[in-house]
Amino acid sequence: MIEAATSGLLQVLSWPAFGFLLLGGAIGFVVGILPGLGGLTTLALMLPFAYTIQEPIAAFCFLLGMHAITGTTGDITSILFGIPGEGTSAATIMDGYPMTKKGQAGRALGAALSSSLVAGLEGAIILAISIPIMRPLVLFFGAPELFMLTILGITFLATLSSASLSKGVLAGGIGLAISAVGIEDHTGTLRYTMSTIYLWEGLSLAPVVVGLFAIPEIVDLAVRGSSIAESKVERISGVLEGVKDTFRHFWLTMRCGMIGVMVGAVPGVGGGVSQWMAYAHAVQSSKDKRRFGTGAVEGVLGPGAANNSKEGGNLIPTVAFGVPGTTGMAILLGAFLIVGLTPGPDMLTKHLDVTLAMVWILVISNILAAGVAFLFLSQLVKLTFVRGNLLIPFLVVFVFLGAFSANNHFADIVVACVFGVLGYFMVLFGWPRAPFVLGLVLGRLAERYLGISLGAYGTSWLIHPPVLVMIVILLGSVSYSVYKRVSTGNRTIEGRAEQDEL
Amino acid sequence: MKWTSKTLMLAAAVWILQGSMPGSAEAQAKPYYEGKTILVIVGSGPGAGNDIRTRLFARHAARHIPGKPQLVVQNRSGGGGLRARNYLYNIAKPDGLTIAEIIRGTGLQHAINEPAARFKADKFNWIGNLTTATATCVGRIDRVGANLEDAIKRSKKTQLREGETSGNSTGAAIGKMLKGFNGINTTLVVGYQGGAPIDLAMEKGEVDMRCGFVWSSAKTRKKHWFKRLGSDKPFVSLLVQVATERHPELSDVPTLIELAPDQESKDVAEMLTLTYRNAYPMLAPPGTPDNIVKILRDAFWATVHDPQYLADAKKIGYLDDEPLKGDDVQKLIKKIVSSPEKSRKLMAKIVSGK
Repeated sequence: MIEAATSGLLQVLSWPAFGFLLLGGAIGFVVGILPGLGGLTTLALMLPFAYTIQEPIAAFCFLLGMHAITGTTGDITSILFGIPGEGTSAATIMDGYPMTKKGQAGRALGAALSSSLVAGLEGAIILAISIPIMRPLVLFFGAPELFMLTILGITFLATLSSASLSKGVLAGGIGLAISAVGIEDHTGTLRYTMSTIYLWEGLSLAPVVVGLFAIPEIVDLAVRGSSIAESKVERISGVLEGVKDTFRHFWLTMRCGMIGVMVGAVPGVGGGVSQWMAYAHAVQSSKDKRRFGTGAVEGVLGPGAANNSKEGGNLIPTVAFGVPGTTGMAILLGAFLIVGLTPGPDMLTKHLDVTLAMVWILVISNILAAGVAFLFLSQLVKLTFVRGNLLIPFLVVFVFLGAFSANNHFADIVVACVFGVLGYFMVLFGWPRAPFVLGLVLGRLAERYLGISLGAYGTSWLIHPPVLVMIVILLGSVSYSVYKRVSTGNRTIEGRAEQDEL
Repeated sequence: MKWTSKTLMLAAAVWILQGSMPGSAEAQAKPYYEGKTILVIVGSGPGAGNDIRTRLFARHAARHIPGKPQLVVQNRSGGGGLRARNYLYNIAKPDGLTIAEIIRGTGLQHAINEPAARFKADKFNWIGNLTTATATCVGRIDRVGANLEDAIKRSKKTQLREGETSGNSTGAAIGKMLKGFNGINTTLVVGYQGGAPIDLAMEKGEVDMRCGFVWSSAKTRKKHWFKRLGSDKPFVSLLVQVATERHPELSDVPTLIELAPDQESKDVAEMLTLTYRNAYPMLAPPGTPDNIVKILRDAFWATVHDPQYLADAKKIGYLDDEPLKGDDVQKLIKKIVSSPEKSRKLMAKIVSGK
């Protein structure tokens, strides 16, 4: 193993492999930072270069390096402008953008990038450690276990509804209902598709989150007539503060990184889920949940960490079974074949050096992305002090390009506008948007895994030992939350009563 | 002849129109495609099997088109290719500058009168088929035994679970036909996001078998599953193949058509078999001028025999591709859509599950 790891590292650092890593990284950086330039489309466009490069590790340096960096830099526009650079980097908006509005863009960016780096390294290390147990690990999680995990995720709806439980749960319920749009797998019934083929595959996440989050912010910016940053609290010095935040909340970063790896390792879940689950965990584990949504740095650290570490997780089923976890990995799977490798058991024995080289590529590209981004941060932060009406035309273009990149369909823009209006009114009337998105991303998964569990096992899956353990954890966690909420409520009432008496 | 202003205007209009027609003498003098870009629409998302195939084709095709145009690939997924088909039929200009690669099913959707299909499959101009596909049904040896007979016997004791993406997929249709033809006791477990997750579910023991498993893909990606591909610990056995004739490497595996008990069943099995035969077709909008279609068909055929293309195809694992000419695809589609009405209705029932 050590020999293979050393060989993998030396091959990554050799010429021209390292040159390809730098080139891929540069492309990934630009694509990630600009909304509308879809990371996946770019990856598909670049795939044919693998024919020319031919040498497996050099090809992975180019493609995997590009893919990993796209994720890291996608958070930057989420924080600065409230527009997700990638559909998967929307959760960073929740607290990143409010921080920018408070003039703390540097700190938010520092936190996002450093947590991304730390968790990206964590993901790579977990990938390396899990090599001997990769296959049994993936085989252990069947549809019933995955269904229970999604149910656990859905319980986070309540966590994300700290301001108003009823509004949050209702928003989550609407998200769950909207996730039902599209073809139902079993019978092929078209649900709420309004006679349009566009809706057959369900709603894409990118136009929904772009509309829900970015459009209300642009309207707000236009109404305010000021710059994005309402106060000039800090400039570049805040970046260092953000880096320190990562280490102040080191275990939160590591836990959210772990969520990214775990969710990333489940094929078909999609990149957006891990960020939202990490955000929900950051909220859940905080003592003061009310700070979230108003610019809590933990709300940036959590999604920032998961966004990058998921790549390590994604590689687990791709390498061990040839089952891509995400569309990005599906494209990389094409690269495996082009360079003459067949994902599967051989990748953990005969081609172990290539697998470990991928770990190194993730490590090095994460370090490079964070390093380069830090160099540009001071310039990027300045944009948040530019007058709003100068920025708005560019932001609108980015919003629509970002939405359109989901399916290259005009309807993507319509969806963004519809959810933009919905988002605006949700903000206006104090409805939380995070539970809505969580319901949307988890609803389809829950339905899918429940359908498979029932089809494959009837109801006997309910007594599978791992499922029973998860049911106990779930009940315990929900009971504890209810108890805490009730006791906090009682204390508040008592406190008020004491004040009244005084 | 009296040169009235009307005559002059008509002559001018004819001259302008002639000049602007893609197939005009002037256009032939200078290659029509010179300095132009061909948009190649892929009817599925980035990274899908046919996306990778199309990008490989686009990489080599320009060399074989007079005028060496650029080829740009664009993904237009949705509705299992329906979105791309509807676009190509109703919106794309028939000028040879928009073509598409849309995975199998165009003929079948027309034949069964799919309500959302806004096209007539036989009116498209078929350029060629990148390769035919021999689909198979495979099952875990420990659950189904060594062959179809074993599987039928075992299924009487314990129902076999067949993993599929949806109840309406062509893979599910194979399973349903098999069940109808010889009484194998199976149930569908649906919701998997593609073939690879179903393979994984088989390894987990969540499902026992799957259909629509393409043999050439098995040879590239799942060699270790098959005894006949050299595995000393085979994982699956082959139950049936979907092909007009038995594949030379699968001579002991019956075809779906062979198993059909009567003529009507044979017709339905043939429709599905021809659908798989036209696995990765390329097509142009209806109304594309004949001379442009000929350029595209010739270029297609030259590309799929280009040594550089074949070398790249080999690298990616496409070892025994069997491309089809545009004329042959056109005939094949005609055959599918003109199947007996009774068979088409039965097929619609099988696919819809209603």
